[in-house]
Amino acid sequence: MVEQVVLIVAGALALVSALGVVIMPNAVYSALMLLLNLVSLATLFLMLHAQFMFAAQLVVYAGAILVLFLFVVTLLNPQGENILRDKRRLQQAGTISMGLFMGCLLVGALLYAFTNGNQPVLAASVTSPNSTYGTVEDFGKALFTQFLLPFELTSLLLLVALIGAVVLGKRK
Amino acid sequence: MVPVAWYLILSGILFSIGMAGVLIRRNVLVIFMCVELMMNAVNISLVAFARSFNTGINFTGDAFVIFVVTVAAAEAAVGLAIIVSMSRQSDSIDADQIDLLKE
Amino acid sequence: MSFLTNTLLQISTAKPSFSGDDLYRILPELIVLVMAVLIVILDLFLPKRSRPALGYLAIAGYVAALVATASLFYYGNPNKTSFSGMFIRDDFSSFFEIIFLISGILVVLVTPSYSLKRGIPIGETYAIQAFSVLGMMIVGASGDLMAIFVGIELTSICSYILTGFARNDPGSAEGSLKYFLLGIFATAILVYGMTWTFGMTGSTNLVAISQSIQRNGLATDPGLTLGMLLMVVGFGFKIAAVPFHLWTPDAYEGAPTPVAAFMSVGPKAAGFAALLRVLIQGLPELAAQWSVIIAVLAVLTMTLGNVVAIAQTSVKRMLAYSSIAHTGYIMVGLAAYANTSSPERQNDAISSVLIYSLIYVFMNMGAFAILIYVQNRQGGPDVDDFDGLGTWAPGIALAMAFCLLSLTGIPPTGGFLGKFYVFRAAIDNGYTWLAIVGVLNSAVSAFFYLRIIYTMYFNPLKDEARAKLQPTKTGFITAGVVVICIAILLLGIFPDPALNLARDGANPLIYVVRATSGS
Repeated sequence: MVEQVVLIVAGALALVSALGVVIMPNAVYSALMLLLNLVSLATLFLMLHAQFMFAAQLVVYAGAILVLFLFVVTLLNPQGENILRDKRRLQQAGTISMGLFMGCLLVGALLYAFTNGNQPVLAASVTSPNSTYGTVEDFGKALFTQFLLPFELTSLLLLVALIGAVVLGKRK
Repeated sequence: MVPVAWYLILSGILFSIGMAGVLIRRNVLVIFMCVELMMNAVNISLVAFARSFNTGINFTGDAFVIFVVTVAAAEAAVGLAIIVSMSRQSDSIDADQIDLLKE
Repeated sequence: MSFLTNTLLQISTAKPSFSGDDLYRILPELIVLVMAVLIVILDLFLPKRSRPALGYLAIAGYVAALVATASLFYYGNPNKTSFSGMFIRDDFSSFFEIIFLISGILVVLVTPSYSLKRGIPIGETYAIQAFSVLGMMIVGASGDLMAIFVGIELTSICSYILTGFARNDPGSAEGSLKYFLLGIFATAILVYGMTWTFGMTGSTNLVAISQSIQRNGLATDPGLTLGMLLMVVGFGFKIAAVPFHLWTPDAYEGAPTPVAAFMSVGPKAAGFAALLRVLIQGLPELAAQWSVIIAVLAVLTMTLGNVVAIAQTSVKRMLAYSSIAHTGYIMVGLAAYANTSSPERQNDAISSVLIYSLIYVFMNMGAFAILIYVQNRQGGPDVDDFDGLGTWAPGIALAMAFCLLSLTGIPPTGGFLGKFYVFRAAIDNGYTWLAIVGVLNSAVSAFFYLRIIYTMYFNPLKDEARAKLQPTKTGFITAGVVVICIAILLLGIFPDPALNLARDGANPLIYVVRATSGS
């Protein structure tokens, strides 16, 4: 019962803030809405027994990526745009309906899952009190054995991003 | 117990909102944020799926999330650098006004 | 939609999965990695004037990796997986490694004369190209959605950066921005598709995925179909298939020309490697569904690419649309795979994709290399700038004509054979209409390719333009063009060695599929 309440509150918050990112006329507000969204999703990670993801979400996403966004938004200070009062509504209606179509497709597939016999819940291995899911120790071990290759590759990814950002961001 | 499908539906809706945002917004920074929304929706799905398998401890979904987050971080660094260098040249980051290359 | 319960393939997580053998199997990748890191470090310490010498280091690294790949190929690839199924060393990965390394070498040859003239940082360019090649090699050799994802993102991020490198050219930043935004949008879609595939089958390992689909009867499952569709869309962006090609013309036009040349061969081939691995190794049970989608996309891609290319006045933009059209031809071979169950026919289809990708690297690189030469001398990439090339640079004009004839698909060039194999595979496997559309499209493409040949030989160069011709260093480009022309000619006249390699390269996919289906 408590779980459901928390899920509904966090989920509703995530949905509202996601809509906020899309609708807010000012990019700064969009960024703040994104922050709210990230935090509510972090709550969901906790409920899914993914404590490490919860921490990573807060530290990497909210702490690093979003701060970078806010820096750039305030640096560039873009003019506001109010999409609700835009002239080219027809074009927008077309694109929105594309997004909605996509959404219907997804929700349809999911509702099918809902109504189709067994409703899977979190697996027993996850919810048992002595489960090691989500702990840094076991996950770290898996990351350095089973997932070693992509893990090492991500270090190259970050190196490339670093070089690229330096070269592209440099003044002439 | 909350069915896993709840998380999947939530993630599907979030993904669609992000997608609609990419399609209707013109400010490149906000478009970028909408892509981040989509990536986050994917992460929720990944963890929810991973937690529904009754196959003992398996960290595949979790590891995938870490890689998605890392990729998103690298993209943020590169993308924001591109946006800054773009804005130095054209004083605008409105996707509609960027049309030097159109015939 | 059946959530999996206990039928899942177990992959051991307990024991460390790393040994000396693994290092031996990823030797080509390690060589490229060491070379790339060396370039990054040396670039910091070398004085600005001697940085172009890093090109020799890059070529040495690629050649060493090529030797390693070839010797692994020659002495028999172990067909074994390393890093808990993430990395597969088989003939397929070796074949694609050869394609990527060759495109790496060729791009190093064409880069310096263009970049030095325009103040593009050359050391970083070489380094990021090398990291990009490394990402592609991982994609070609990965047996797991996760490794494919990280590898393809490494390649893509390198491409975004390289596109924006010409900081004196406003078009560069703009092309890079458009490419970036559409690219990360595609990435989000791709990874959502991978998520659904993972969620439905319980694994990211391609072989485990196909086993799980079979055991749990998931072939018609809506969730898995959604995953497949989203992944095709995501990879469609990477290979620039219509209607996911919107970034291509702008990114190619804005990018420094060597980078455009690189993007049109390397990352595209990597996208195809990933598509082949995922669709054929991971989702063979869904072949009936994806083959129709690929066939329709192939028709759209070929037709739009060729028709729009006719209207272009800039050769750079024309080559962008032409590269879209060639994506379509390659997709014909992929679609042909699914319509047959005979291993020989399947091998025909996959090997036609491989051989076309290889030939395409040479002929497209050749056309771009000469475009770079003309841009260096004339300043612009327009069709007019090719006026009278036949008189003021007869050798270059001859090579250009040769590459363009190959792109059109006229014998005795390699391009003809590539198209021949692809279309023959389509006809053999019941896609005759697709082959007809392809041939018609080749006829359309002759218009704009031959127009450039006409311009080179029959339009005189105006005197004032001749006076303005700029000097350029030609050493590297000439070397590249000579290599390319010889390769195209050899592939056209003696295709057998390359074809045999492609046949070997196609085998692992078919072998794995058959082993999985238990026949």
